[in-house]
Amino acid sequence: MGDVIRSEWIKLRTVRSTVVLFIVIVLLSAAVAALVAIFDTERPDDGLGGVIVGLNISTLLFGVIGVQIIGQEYRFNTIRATFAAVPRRGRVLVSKKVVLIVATAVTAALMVLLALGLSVAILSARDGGLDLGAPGVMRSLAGSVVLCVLYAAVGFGVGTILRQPVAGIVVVLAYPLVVENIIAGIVLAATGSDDIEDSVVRFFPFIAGSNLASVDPTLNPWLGGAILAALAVVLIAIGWVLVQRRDA
Amino acid sequence: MIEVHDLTKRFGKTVAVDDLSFAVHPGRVTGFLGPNGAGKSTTMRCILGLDRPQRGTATFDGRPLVASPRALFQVGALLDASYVHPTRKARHHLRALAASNGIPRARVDEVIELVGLSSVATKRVGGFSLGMRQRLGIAGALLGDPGYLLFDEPANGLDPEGILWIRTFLKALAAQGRTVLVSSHLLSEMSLMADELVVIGRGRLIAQAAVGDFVRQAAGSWVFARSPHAARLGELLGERGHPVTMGEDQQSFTVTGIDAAAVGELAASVGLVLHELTPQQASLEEAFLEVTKEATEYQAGDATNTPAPPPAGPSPADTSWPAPAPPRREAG
Repeated sequence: MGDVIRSEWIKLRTVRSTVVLFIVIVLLSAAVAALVAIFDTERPDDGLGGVIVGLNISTLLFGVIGVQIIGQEYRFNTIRATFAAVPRRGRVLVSKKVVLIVATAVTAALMVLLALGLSVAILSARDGGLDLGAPGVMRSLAGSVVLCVLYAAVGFGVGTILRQPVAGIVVVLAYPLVVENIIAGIVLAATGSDDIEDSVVRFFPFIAGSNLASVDPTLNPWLGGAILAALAVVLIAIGWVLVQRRDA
Repeated sequence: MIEVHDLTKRFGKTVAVDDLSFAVHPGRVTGFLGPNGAGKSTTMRCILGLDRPQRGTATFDGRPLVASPRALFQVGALLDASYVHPTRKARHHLRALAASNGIPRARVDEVIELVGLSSVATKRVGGFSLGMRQRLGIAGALLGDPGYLLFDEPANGLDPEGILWIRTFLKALAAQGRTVLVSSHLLSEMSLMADELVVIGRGRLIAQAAVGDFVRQAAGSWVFARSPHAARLGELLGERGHPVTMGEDQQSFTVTGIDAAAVGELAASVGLVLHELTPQQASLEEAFLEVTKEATEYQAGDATNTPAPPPAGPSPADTSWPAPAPPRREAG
């Protein structure tokens, strides 16, 4: 298994677009955090606004990474060489997942630290910095890292099922960003509720998961994370079964 | 030995491989021959466990490949030269493949050298010509120094020099005792490369035979003769049971079932003058078309009404195939 993991690690770091995507993610969130720290004179209540805004955008891109790590193999048919070399397909999927978790966790941690560091530096030069000891602050920063890893995991499941990177990317961008919110809006309207906290809507996977990164969660953040993780597990399990049965 | 047994693979309603059985033996190059769309690539993917057949098995010395944790040491395959990521460098492509089977980097450099890609090893594969990609694919197949090698149309896109190279290369690999299966849709190419042929059409086995036998029998041979006494000589040959086709000028004929020497001797024994006496063979491609005509996927007409090819022989030694049509030749 170690060999296959090493192989997947080589694959991940030797495709230019994937490497670029990782770098873009880190720089994008850092840039947004810095810009907000510089120009947003009205500090949000939680004091973390700038950092979190930047992270929110990048979190979506982790879903893209998850799709790409498997979808590219199908797009370029390299999956055939991969499975011919390692006929036990489960080993390949597990190895990809391990590499994906480690790579996304490290990248997300770097991203959070850089964004946070820039915000703190800029804000302290201006008016005294961030209160990192405030309730929920450290937890939301750690939660952001977990959320990124979960987005990547969902993307991996979607990519494994669909095999088409473009379709997969559309799904992992459009569903959390648009579709789930539309459904949530409809449900809220239908139930005559206008408060997410009382509605079933707060258990929707991405809405629930977003609590991980929120300083002011509408649901226990770890429960929210577990719901999103459950979605990832289900998608990956479906993908697993399909990969075993389908032609490569 | 690779044994393909009762293999059937359908894609929806399309039957790509139809109850196909054949064996590939070590120590020689086995050509896997068939027109485009005959099911060669699908069969190869099934052998490698990539496509899941509806029925049948493919085994390596009796075991399916799926059981192998480090398959590259057992089987090396070049399926399609385009199966590479264009922005990955050649060496990285091979390193990733090698790593999955615990093959050291030094071996990667070895196979790069072996296929002659050293100068472009650090280039992105996207910029490679088809010929270079073929070499890269062959390098990948050789990584584990496997006893089995499967190459799908490896000569595609190679220049004459490259084709010569791969021909020599495959023969050398087989001479080392490896089992080599190489597909092509060109009989002329196969006749130079392979020792044995597995011929399929529409997913079914048409023949498995030594290349020489297949070419001789499938191609058919005949004798062309020109003589002022062509009519008389033709008559004599006809009486002896050899089918004769007279030329339009009545000064020549073709005859099958007898060799040129015998025709000459017959003419001499009755005192008839010959002006020309030539043994002739149909071109390989003509012969191949003839043999696979009934089994060609893209033939005009309703496919379901096309007569099925003769049933495949169960043993590899079976060399039956449809009798070749009599040679059609313009007079003169």
